[in-house]
Amino acid sequence: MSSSGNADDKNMLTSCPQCGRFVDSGTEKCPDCGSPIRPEPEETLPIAPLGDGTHCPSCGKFVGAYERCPYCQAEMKVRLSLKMVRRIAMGGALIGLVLLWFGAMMKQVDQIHVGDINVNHNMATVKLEGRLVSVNIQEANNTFKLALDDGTGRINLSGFDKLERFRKALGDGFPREGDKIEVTGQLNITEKFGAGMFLSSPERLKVLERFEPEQRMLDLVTDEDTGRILIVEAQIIDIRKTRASRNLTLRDDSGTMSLTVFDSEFDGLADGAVKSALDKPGSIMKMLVKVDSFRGNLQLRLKNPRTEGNLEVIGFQTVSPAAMRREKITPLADLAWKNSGDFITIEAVITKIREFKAGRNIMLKDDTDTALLVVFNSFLDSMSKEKSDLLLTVGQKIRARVKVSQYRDTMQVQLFSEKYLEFLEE
Amino acid sequence: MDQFLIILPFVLAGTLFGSIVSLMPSLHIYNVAGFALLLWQVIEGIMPPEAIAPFFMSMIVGFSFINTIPMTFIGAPDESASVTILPGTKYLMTGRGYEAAVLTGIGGLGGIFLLAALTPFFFLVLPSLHKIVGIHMHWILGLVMVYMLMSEWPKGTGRGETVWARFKDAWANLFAGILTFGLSALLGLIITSKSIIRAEMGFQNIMPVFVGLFAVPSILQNLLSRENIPNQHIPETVETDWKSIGKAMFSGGIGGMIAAYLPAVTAGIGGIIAGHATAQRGDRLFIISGGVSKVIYYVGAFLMLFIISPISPNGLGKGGLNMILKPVFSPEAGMFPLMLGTIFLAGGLSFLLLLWFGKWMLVLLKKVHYHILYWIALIMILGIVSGLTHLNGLFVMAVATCIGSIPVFYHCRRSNCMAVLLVPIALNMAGYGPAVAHLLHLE
Repeated sequence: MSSSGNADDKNMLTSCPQCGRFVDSGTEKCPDCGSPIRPEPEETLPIAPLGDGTHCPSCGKFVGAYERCPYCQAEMKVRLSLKMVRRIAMGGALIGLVLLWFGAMMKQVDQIHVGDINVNHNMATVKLEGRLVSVNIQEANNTFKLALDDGTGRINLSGFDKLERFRKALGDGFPREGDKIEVTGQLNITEKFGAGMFLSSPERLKVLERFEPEQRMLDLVTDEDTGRILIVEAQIIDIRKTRASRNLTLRDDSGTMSLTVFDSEFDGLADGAVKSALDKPGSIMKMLVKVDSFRGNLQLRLKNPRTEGNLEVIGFQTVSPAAMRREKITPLADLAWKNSGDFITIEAVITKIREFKAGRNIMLKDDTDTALLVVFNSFLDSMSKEKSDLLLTVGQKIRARVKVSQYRDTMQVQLFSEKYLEFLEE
Repeated sequence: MDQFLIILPFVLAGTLFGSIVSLMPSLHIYNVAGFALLLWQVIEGIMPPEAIAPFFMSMIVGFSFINTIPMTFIGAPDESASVTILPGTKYLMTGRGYEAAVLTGIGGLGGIFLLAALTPFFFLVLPSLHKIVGIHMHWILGLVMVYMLMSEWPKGTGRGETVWARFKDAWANLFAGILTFGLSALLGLIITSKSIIRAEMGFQNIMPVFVGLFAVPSILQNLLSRENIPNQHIPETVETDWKSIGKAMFSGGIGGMIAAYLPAVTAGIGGIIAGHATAQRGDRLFIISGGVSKVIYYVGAFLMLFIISPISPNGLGKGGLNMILKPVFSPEAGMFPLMLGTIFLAGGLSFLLLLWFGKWMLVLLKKVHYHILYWIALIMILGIVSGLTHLNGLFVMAVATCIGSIPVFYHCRRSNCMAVLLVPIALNMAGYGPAVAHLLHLE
């Protein structure tokens, strides 16, 4: 037995180097021969300088570039270069990371144009600035999608499963269509969907300019407004149902214009009062609309009708022909200056009637000029016999709210509702 | 037949391109994909649309086989080989380096056969599995990270004359591993939140990081080494049997599949998990299973992009490779058999190229000291990084090199460097990515 040399191991035995008697390891002198009992020296590990090879010369095992053999603990003479490299690695990692972090914090994210994006920009974090041309909210998926147009191109911005977070953070500042925004994010370019950007954080989306739609009188809406979003306050004076939509005739103090509401939009309205008002002539409503064009004619479309505040019922007033009498009469000579699709009120005498396959061409004359009134058989059939007979009487004077249309470069007018046709005494 | 004749030259070209590029030491697949994207912009007009996917697939197959050569002969692994480097180096030092490369190649062929055999699993089981597991991916990645750290713990009680010496001996490389993990994670969070690389090279945001974490430290380590590569023997046969190959395919298959499916988990990490799960022993098994794992990881991850089913209409591909190549093509339903055929063709060709390039490398190493090759590789890497990403990229690479050098010189796992992607991806999947970026003032 031998002492491990550990002073705490007092109960261990050791042998006297002189006489061999077993004594406690803590004993200083042998009780038999009096020789000093020295603790055995600790096993010291061999310290042998190893070569630069991969095998330990002490035990011969393969060790690679270790400082100490993992098998026999032979210590390798450490080269200065290895120690230096270690210190440089550690220090460089820590200091470099801090510097990189500061650099990243200070760096301004590159702002680019949508038109300049190419495949090399994939996964780049960039800043874009432009107007939102559409805002698509998907409540069921907690997702929203925006389309941004900066004048050079259009890009889709997606907030998958982030709608609630963005709404909470932005509140009333949640972007709307028409807003000018600045957004920072990572580009994701795929061959299938093109360039897009995932929105991860509300802090990276800023509304630079809030879009406040302008309120406009109907008569002041022109072709140049196509695509624009406006607020109109008008009365519904006529509703015509088609297979998949409703064509509403709106009227305010300046004039009239057509509004098309598709059945899907109508059915999606949650507010019962608004829905009922939209289906009732006489309702006076304030609406957020988008100016559209269909077959060359200006018309209006509801803009995000499900969003609260975009459709408001102001009142109700029965629509009557009497109201039409207060309207300004448009001379027939001014017809050439009117746009197709405009609604005007005329007062003229029927001078000639010519029958064609689908209806009647009725020539009208007032003090200024003549004009052609086209009446289709379907319209005549929908009228009462008395009224249709009067309409087909040469010499009959009429006052009517008509729609201007164009056929083969010729301006003409059409009746759109029997309610706005009055027969006057000569 | 016409389509076959149109695609065939591009498959051969892709295999050759991937093979030549992978001869550069320590190159990662992300870097290869970046080069491929740059090359594609040059040859876009020449390559027909139906040949794009086979070209990239054959390039990846070529890479997965031929990168064995720098890995084995000049000890320059990418991260995927970090588990197998020591057995391969042992073979090299006993003059059996060529045999190690061939064994890896045999493993690679096994991996290809496994990919074909797993096809029913890919289409029948994997989409449904992904639907269930996909939303919990951040938990799985978290477990992987915990396993990576805990499996390095503890490493014996340590030896030394003093308590401090014993403590240092036992815990030094463990702390080095944890430190590497933490620093890599921070680096990844900075780079993914607000990279300092210019936007025009956004698709190579990660390139300086990977080059710095894996390639440059290996090169530096070998440049500092004074070892000489002994004469290598080119055998006519290799020492293995079907049983060993079968065992290695089992272990390597598990590791490779884990790496192919989980985002940011590479073959090195998959190999650690699989090695522990299968209690794999023996250098030969390690080397063969390393080959299996590598091929399944690289090729399988890309192949999964073509698993298009009603449950997975956009495929199941993940990872930086797919993100880099997504702008170039979109997988379509029905392309899977074409990809499988490409893999078989490119795999067979790559194995033959491995045998030839292996011999060529040995001849080269007899004439040119490997230090010179490393200097050339270092200069090329610096040139590529500075050319593509300029000074900012070089700085990022330098920081990443310092971090990547810690495991090399403190002898802990290099897999810990994968925290550079693991942590940011797991945080983003868990929904905490923006919060962490905000905390770091990187928004």
